[in-house]
Amino acid sequence: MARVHLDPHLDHQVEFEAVSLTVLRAQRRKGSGRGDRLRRMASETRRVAHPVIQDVSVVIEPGECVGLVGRGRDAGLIEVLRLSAGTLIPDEGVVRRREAVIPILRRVGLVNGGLTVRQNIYVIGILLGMSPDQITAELDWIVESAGLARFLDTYARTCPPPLRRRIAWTVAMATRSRTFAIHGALIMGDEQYREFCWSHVESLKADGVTFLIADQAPDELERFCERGLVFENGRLIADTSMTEALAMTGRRTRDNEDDNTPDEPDVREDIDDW
Amino acid sequence: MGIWHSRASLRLLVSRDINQKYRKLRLGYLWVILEPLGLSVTMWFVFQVLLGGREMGEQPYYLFLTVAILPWWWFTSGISASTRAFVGYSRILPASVLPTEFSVARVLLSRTVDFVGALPLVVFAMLVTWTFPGPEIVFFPIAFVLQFAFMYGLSLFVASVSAVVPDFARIVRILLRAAFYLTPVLYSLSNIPPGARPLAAINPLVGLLSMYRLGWWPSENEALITYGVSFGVGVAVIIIGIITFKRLEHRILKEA
Repeated sequence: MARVHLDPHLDHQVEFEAVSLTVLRAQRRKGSGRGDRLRRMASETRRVAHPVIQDVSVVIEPGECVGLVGRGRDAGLIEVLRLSAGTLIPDEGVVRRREAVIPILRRVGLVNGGLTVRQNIYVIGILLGMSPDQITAELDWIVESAGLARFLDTYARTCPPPLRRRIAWTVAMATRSRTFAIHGALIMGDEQYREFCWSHVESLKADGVTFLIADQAPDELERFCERGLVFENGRLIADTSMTEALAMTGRRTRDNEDDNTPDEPDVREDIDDW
Repeated sequence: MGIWHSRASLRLLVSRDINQKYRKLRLGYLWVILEPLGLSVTMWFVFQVLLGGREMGEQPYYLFLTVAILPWWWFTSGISASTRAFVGYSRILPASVLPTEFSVARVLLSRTVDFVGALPLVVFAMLVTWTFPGPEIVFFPIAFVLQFAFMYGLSLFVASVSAVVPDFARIVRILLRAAFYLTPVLYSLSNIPPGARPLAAINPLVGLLSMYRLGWWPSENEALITYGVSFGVGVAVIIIGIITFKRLEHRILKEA
């Protein structure tokens, strides 16, 4: 019953074929009748079908590093990444993948403050599809590269935030997957953390690992990605070079982007007792 | 199937969950036993001491109650927890490559561990009442396995529907309360008029609880038809659960 089907004979790393996705979103009731007004007062909402991804067909080749940028709000980038990792199922069309795609999403609180760092590493590893034995084998590498040695057996909530943020990222890297779908994980945190993550991307890229990156760091996207996909309202409107794609969205450098810098997550954001 | 393949992972997650659930409590794991113990003693006091005149169930009543109240506690806590199986993990569903039904298995298994941990209460009740089972006790583990399968199917259904329709969790709470009185936990099947028994057997728990009790009260043995009906309904529930989950899976993921 696994929802992620792998197709080892596929020619491409990930393939979207005429993929569409609609979600129901709560919307305030409109209308001026008495019934409508009453329902508005009761803050009753109407669930309206909202097309998030519309007829996207795209092919990602092995070893490519593809940057995804959106024009306007609701471009549907996170949905594209979730679809490619298989954590969303398309309403129409098919997503095929040759190997497992590991999702790394910013807004998802994977680190649990009530568990120790070691336990967190195991739990996150399992959620990303590793077996406990695999994690044990990678534990030394994770601890060393994230610099967690001093905090390994303390509760995650007492671990300093810059280090805590590294846990999920480093465990994801330890899956040794050949494909990653990353959303926003590369822009949160301090400069040092970002360097740390991008250095992983760089070395894995040289190794032929495929990346799908939706991020708001134009400089780095331009540096690491050759190919750019531009989305608007869930439609793929351009499939060009990264420089071109960034030009289309009007975000050239970090300097003129200051006014709409993505909200810097506060310290507690990535910690959540699920 | 995906779950069997990653059972080592499941075991680790369940042990973390249990560890976390009892870590903050002063009495820790003792609560696995204390909660059902409190329930059975309360019920025994009310229905045997206060309302003792009534003809209800079998003697010794305390043992009779304990043998059924543990599986019942497992059932009710498992099903009510499953209403949050997908909703509660909505933060990790988008980022996890595990099969979606993993979280249902995770919730159900941690309740199952609680049930197994509470089983010494049956031994306690046997010692207190000095009543020991006959060879029919072999039906006890069989009932356990059947109940687990039944609960897995029902949890899948409840978890899937509650993820899509939030109100369903409250309906389930009411239904569980009603089911407590409609299921022979406090009384025995023989308290039900003979004509109504096949009808009562539509509730799969009727057959299950009778099986649990067989070891001590072989005379409780019902006509095969009772077990047949219970078993048939149980299997139907499992199938409906799996189908419902498969049909709703894409919507569950969207809600996450």
